[in-house]
Formats: sequence, structure tokens, C-alpha cells
Amino acid sequence: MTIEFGLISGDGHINEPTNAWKDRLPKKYQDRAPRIEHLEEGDAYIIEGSPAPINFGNNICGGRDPELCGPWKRWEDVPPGGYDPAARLEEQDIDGVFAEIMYPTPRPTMAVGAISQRDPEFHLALVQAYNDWLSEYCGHAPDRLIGPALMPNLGLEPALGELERAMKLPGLRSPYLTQWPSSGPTILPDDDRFWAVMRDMDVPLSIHISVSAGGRPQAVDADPNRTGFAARGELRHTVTPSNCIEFIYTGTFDRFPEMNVVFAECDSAWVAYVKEQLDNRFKRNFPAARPKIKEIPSYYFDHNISTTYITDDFAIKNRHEIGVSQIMWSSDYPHIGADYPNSWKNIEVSFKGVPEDEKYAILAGNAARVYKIKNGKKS
Amino acid sequence: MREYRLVSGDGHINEPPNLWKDRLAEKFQSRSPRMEEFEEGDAWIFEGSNAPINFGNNISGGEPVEEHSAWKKWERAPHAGYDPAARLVMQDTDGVDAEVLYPTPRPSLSLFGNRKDPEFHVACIRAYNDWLSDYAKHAPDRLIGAAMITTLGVDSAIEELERSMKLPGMRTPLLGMWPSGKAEISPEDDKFWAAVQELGVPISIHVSLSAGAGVGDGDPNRTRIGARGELRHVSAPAHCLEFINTGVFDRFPKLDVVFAETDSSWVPYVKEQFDDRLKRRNPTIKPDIKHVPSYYFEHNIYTTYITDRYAVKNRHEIGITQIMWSSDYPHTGTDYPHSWDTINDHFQGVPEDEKHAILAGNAARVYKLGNGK
Repeated sequence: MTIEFGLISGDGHINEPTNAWKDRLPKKYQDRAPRIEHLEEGDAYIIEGSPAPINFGNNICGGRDPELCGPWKRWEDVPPGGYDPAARLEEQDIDGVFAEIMYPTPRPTMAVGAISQRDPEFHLALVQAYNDWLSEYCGHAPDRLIGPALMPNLGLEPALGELERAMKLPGLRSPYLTQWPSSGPTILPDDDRFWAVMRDMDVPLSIHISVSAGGRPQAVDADPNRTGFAARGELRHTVTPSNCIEFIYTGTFDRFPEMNVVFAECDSAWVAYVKEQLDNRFKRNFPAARPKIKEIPSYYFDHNISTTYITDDFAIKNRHEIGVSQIMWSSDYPHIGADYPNSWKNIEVSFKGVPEDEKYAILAGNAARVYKIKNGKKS
Repeated sequence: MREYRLVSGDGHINEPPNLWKDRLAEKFQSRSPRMEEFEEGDAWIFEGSNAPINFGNNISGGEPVEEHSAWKKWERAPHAGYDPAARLVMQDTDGVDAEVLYPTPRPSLSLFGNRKDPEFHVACIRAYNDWLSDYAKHAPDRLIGAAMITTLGVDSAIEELERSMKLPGMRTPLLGMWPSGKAEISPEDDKFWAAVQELGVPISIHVSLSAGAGVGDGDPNRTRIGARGELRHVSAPAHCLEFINTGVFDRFPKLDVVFAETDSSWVPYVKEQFDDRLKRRNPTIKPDIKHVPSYYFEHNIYTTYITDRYAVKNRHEIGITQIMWSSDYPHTGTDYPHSWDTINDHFQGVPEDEKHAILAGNAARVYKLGNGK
């Protein structure tokens, strides 16, 4: 096997060391800083905003035998690249990866998000501490470690404030939303101000799976073993389409035609289905009930919306219906879905017969274009 | 026996204004679901529903889009919605041999969700099933009745299952919630699956099970993003996961579950992802099931689609035996009276046997058409 170019993973993850928050929080919050506790079953984050300890076994076992995976692990089991950028570059090299978009761990992030409801100031302090830590991490190798900056859930002004602050920090290249900018139940006209600043900064928007609906932060699953059906990764594609519909039907992409929105880890194969159905419905709607948009809905999937997938052979087969320029491979490393250190091995199987230019676009080129990553191609 | 060329796995009746009034006991008359006139159009008033339920989009199929509207008068409903003789004429016009007949979604969600008075709940659901049987028995080889199942617990559900499946024209239970009435599948439900398997009938689920409390949609103009028909594919995968991971299909291998109006082309994606996740999971916490998840999509789970070119293209990955065409008549998604035009366009190059399976054969097999019932 020859590695023809470095992969760019549209969705990778750091593992938050507890001092990420603690070392950067103001003194008055020191005793409330998220911490990792040693429990009998394993270690877990204790974070205000979560009703239960947050274990992380499935967030650190990518590439290990299934026997070594499981919800409960010790912090010592975390791959050093989760928190040490120099180690991460070595892990990238082992897997043939040139760069990654580095998201936080979902449940700790949800817990921080939930704090917005009861203590806005503490929430903002946690968000800023996280972004500062991520900037230090990504700043180590800004071409290879791409930081999406977490936006606060406190309404438009704090979101704009953190967007302006974070995009000046080294290594951070994209705002990462877990709610709409105004923290509303849907996209609101005010959100245009956020999109306008993004346009002026020329940065893409990153959303991990989906933004939470209903105007409230997504609740952390209280069951540490995560046996609930709703929490399962298999269903990660089910909310994203409604987020896409909101962007499209509110005319956001007509007002901001250059806008790039990346939905990470939601996979890609469903996109062709949703495009067809949205266009079909649009045509059948009586004209007065049609959303006031310039193009048919699929147009925006072809121009403004990208998705990242981990393993999705069905998407590779149907890449033309999805849109070759709108798909990004990802490793999800070090989460359980990763093929690390064998990403290339599985890619070669999935891409059998795919022309080189299309393969490059999906595996590196699209992410390089959208996130403006230099030097994506190496011999 | 009739030769089936086109069977719709998902069609709808339109509940006539007197459906419940004519069938409910005297003591329930004042609480009976009723149709009222409003300035914008007619609408149903259901006990427990927080707003009138209009039905314009449920009666507009086949009309020019300029005529579509959420609000309409009952006089605009096609006779086929409530008169079985007119229904057969409609079917002939569209080249349809038979249809599986579902209620209108929001009225049925109201009935499924209104459980405060168990006796009233059962009475309303029985009245619906009795009416539908009268409708379907007019031509039981062409009008396939889906009987609403009560949501009060497994024993009540089994009672209505066994009662309704004896009525002429009724061939499948329609679930609005899990048989236990709970929000998630549970071991209690096994009694119901056993009864269904014993009867040899398929289970029908229209789009999704109700989460429980929701009783219709409070917004009569249905502008909420969540209420949009574009998102009808999002709940079924979760329900499939519940059926599969709890081992229901291992314990009841002959169980057929039809998800109507969910469309079909998302199925290969979900099959691939479910299998992939299972493979990666620690063996000690894997769901205890005999086969990989995709196996059950190929043996126990069916989907119906209205217009889904992507599904026809990827029919082999979905499973040729598991897909059913549907017209959704008389809802706005239908191509009536031109269903065959769309079909012929989408099926160019598809071998005849595969085309027949999707258009008629699968539904005829699963719903046991031509068995003389």
C-alpha cells in the first residue's frame, strides 16, 4: 500500500485533561472546576450540569480490540495524543493522517452547555477556558491540528463576543455551535448577525452531529452505561436533516451564499435521500406555503452543506448523488468508531474503483478547501 | 384470484364526520370526536387535542398544487376517502389493485394518546375499527384494513388485536405505541408479539410510534420544522434498533414489521452502521442477538416509500423483498392519477421480477392477499 497523500479527518477528538479548565478558570471558580474522579468502575468526569459521572471509555478506545473497549476506563488508558499535541502528531503519522478537525468529547461538552441554564457567567468561563486550552493544543501545529472554537449558549451577544475572541487565538479556525447563535428553538432572524461576522472572517461553521432543538441545551444522558436507545451512535444521522432544513428554508444560504456548514460525524449516505425528498416536497407544496428560497433545496446541499463520515461505504457508492465536493472522510479518533491505525487499509477497500480526483476530494481536498488547510498534499 | 400488479403499502381513508357519533354509546355522545366549521375550513375536535385538527393536506392528493391548502371544507374530501365503492373507482383510475388503509395521522395520534379514561379510549378505537371493517369488507381483496390497537397495556392491546383481526377486511394491527403503552420496548411486549405471530399477521407502524404524551400537533398550520413530512424517516431507525437489539426477532422469527411512509433509501445506510457498531462493541456489552443487525432488515423489517428514486437505484442494498411502493392517496404526496407515469420513469432498466416485488409482490405476500379472507 502506498500512502499517496495525508488524510484530513473532518472529525477527530481531543480528550480533556481536567487541568484544561482548572488552570484557566478564574480563582472564584476553582472549587467548581470539572474534575476527574476515581470510581470503582473506572474514572469519570464530574461536571456541574451532568446528573451523573461521565465516563469516557468509548472516547479513548479507537483502534483497540473490541475486548479493550467499554464505557469505563482509567485516565491512564487515554492515548497521550488526546491531550498532548506532540504525541498527537505521532499518532497522525502512524495512521497516515495529515490533519484533523479537533472536537471536544460530546458528553462533557453537553454538561458545560447545560450549565448555561443556571449560571451563565460560569458557563462562559468554562467555554473560554476550553477554547484557550484548545488553542494552546492546536497552536503547537496549526496546519495539522484544526480547532473549532466552542460557542457559548447564552444568546447572540455572548456568541458574537466569543466568536471574535476565539478566532484571534492561534489554531482556532471555525466556530463550533451546539445551539443556534441566539440560543433560540429555531434559527432566528438575529442569527444573521452571527453568519455575517463569520462571512467577514471567512471561516466555516462546524456542528458536531447537530445543534440541539427546542432552545435548550441537549441533556447529558444520566445513565453512565448509556443503554438508552436514544443515546446510541447508530442514530447520529437523525437530527441533522432538520438542522439542514432550518438553514435552507430560512433563506440563510441565499443571504450568505458563500457560507460553509460542516455537519461532523452524522455520516453522508442519507444526504442523497434527503435532497430528493426535500425537492419533491418543495414542488408539491402549494406556492403560498413554499419556503421563500431562490433555489431548490438540493442546491444548498451541493453548495453550502458538507457532512463527515467515519465508515460509510454506501456513501462512497452514491457519492455523485450526495455531491463529491461535499463529503469529508473522518477517523473519529480516538473514539470507538476509528479504524486507527488502519484507516488507509479500510479506505483502499471502500474506494476500489473510485477515480483519484474524487478520492482525494473526499479524503483530504474538501476539508482542505473548507478549513483552508495548507499543505494538505504531501508526497 | 386477482392478479396484483400494483399494491399501495400506504393509503389513507378520510374519517367521515359521523364515524364516532354513529358508533359511540349514549354516555359518550357529548365527548365524541366531531367535525366543526371554522372560518378557515372544517376541522376535527378531539378530546385531549390542544387545537382543532384540519385536514386539507389529507384530502388534496391529485389536485393541482394551486388547490392545496391546510384548511379545507369537508365537502372537498374525495368520496373515495369514506365510500368504498368510490375507492375502487379511484384505484382503477390510478391502476392500483389494492391498498393498505391507514387513518389520518393526527386524528389517530389523538386517539392513541388520549388515555385518561380507559373505557372511552377503547370505545373510540373500537368505533374506528368497526367503521374501517365496514369500509374494507366491501372489497377485502383490494381494501386492506389496519386496525388501531389500544395503548392501555399489553392485555388490552391483545384484546383489541384478537377482536379486530376477526372483523372482515382487517389484516394487520396498527401500533401507535409499544403494546405495553410505554415509551420504550419492554419484555411485557412479548405477549403481544406472540399473539401476532400466532395470528400470522404483519405489524404495521405508520411513520413512527408516538412518544406518549403528544396528542396531535398544536399548530393547525403545522409550520413547525419538526412536523414536516420531509423528516418522516427519522424515527423508524430507532424503533428498528429497539426491535433488533432486544432480540424480539430472535424470539419471534416470523414477525413481519412494516414501517409505512418512512421511505426506503435510508435502510442500507442504517444496516451498514448498525453492523459496524456491533462489530466494534465490547463482546461483554453487545446486544445478545443471533445475527448481525442487517439480517433482520432482510427478514423482518419492511418499509414503504412514495417517491424514492434513490431507493429504486439501491434496491439490492435495501433488500428487494423488503420494499413496498405506496401512493399515500389522498394525501399530498401522491402522484394519483399518474402513479404509473412516475413508476415507469423510476423503474427504467429494473428487471421485471424485481419491479413486481416492489410494486405488488411484497405487499401481497406480507399482507396475505388472495387468501380468501
